[in-house]
Amino acid sequence: MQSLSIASTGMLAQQLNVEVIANNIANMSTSGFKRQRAEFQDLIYQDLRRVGSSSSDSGTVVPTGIQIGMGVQTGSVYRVMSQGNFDNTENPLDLAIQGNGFFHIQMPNGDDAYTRAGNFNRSPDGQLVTSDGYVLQPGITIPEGATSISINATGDVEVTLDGQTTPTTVGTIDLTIFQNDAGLNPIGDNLYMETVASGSGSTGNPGGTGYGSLLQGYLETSNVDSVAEITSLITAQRAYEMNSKVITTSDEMMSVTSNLR
Amino acid sequence: MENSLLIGLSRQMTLRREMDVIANNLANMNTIGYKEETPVFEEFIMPTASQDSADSTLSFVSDIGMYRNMADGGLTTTDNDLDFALSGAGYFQIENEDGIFYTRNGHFQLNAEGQLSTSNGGLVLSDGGAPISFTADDGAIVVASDGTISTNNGPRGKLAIVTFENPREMRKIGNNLLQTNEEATPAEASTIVQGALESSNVNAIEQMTSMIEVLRSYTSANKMIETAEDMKRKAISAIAGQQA
Repeated sequence: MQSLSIASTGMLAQQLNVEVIANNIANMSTSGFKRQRAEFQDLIYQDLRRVGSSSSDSGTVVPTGIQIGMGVQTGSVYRVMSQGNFDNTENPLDLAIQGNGFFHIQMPNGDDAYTRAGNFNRSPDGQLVTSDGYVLQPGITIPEGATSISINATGDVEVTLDGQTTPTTVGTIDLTIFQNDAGLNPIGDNLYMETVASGSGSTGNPGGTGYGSLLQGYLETSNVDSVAEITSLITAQRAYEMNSKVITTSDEMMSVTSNLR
Repeated sequence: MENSLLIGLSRQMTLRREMDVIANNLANMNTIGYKEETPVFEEFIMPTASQDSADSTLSFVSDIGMYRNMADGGLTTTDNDLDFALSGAGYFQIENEDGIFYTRNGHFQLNAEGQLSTSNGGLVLSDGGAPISFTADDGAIVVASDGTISTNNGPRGKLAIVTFENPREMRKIGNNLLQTNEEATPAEASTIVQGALESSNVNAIEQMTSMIEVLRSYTSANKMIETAEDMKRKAISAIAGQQA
């Protein structure tokens, strides 16, 4: 009975589907989170009667043939990189990217990582860092005694020092874009690493062609749509149940056979 | 006497195959672009020993083919720029190291060179038969309903959508790909929906009902075999009893 193993591939696939949905729902309020989707593909086929083979010596061919599929497999779990909504936080160091691009972060071990979560803080020496203390690249230091910080859409960081009226530019925040955003490797903590599939990143000013622009005082919310996730959860659960029914039915058929004697 | 056993067996073998097909349909309930399949059975008439024979012809059952339901599946919105659903007849054209294949799974992505590809790395072809490339600064990719691709940096060709005279003759090879020797002609009656995927057209209720039907037919075929066997056993003991 192949139907037993076919149904088990179906159950495994739906289990993975539920895991992906669970992770999306768990990250519903993670800033900069991009939801994932599991993509399924049919598994190989067994040709019992090959389509197009000749059915007589006068040249007639089998029009449809018999192909028994062996079940389902996961093609990919891909990330949907669509824009999330903007959440107004009024924090001057919260930045949302409107459009394409990632902030470039340097990991403590010197590796490069990329993120869309723009909730930055100041380190003890005034540098802009993530909530884990990893430094934003290129490094921007807010001098002591700065009364206000303003970051414009093209990434220029201007501070007004105590007792001064004209703001001073202390640096520019760059964005990195990739050929294939979905190919980036998520390493947790809202960070992504470059991979062969993503292509190498190119760095440029926010607002340039192909680059998104920055929005100060806002955070990008996750792009998880709770209604859509719950709907897929229901579909996944029902599909799981139906595949388990196939297993019970196959089992019953086999028990019928074994009770023959 | 043996015949009733064998006829029952032929029914059970086809039922097992039908069960495999149902299992595969249900396993692929959430497979993008999957088309439901139904096995087709025919009566196989066993010729009698001679024309004057008292036996009437026996009819066995055998499977002759598969029927693929080509109806469109529902559209699932994904909001992903590189997800495309085909509405109406037609296939995307994919090229990988083994040749040209066709698919209705419109979930594509960009590879490291910026080429539009499937999740298994096959390249999606344009109507000119060439891969479709994008650059990192192209911005949003917009695909019109006829497959014309445009970006911030200008047009990027048109997705190849093809149809075949007999789409049921296409062989499935797994990974949502189909193969055929038939000649591809550009599709005219199909439209592309960007940001959506075509879900599988498996009708779960129908499949569950046929599954019950298969189980019950299997059990009754079994009953028939059992009865035939019982008759044989009785005959043996009756004949043996007379001799003793």
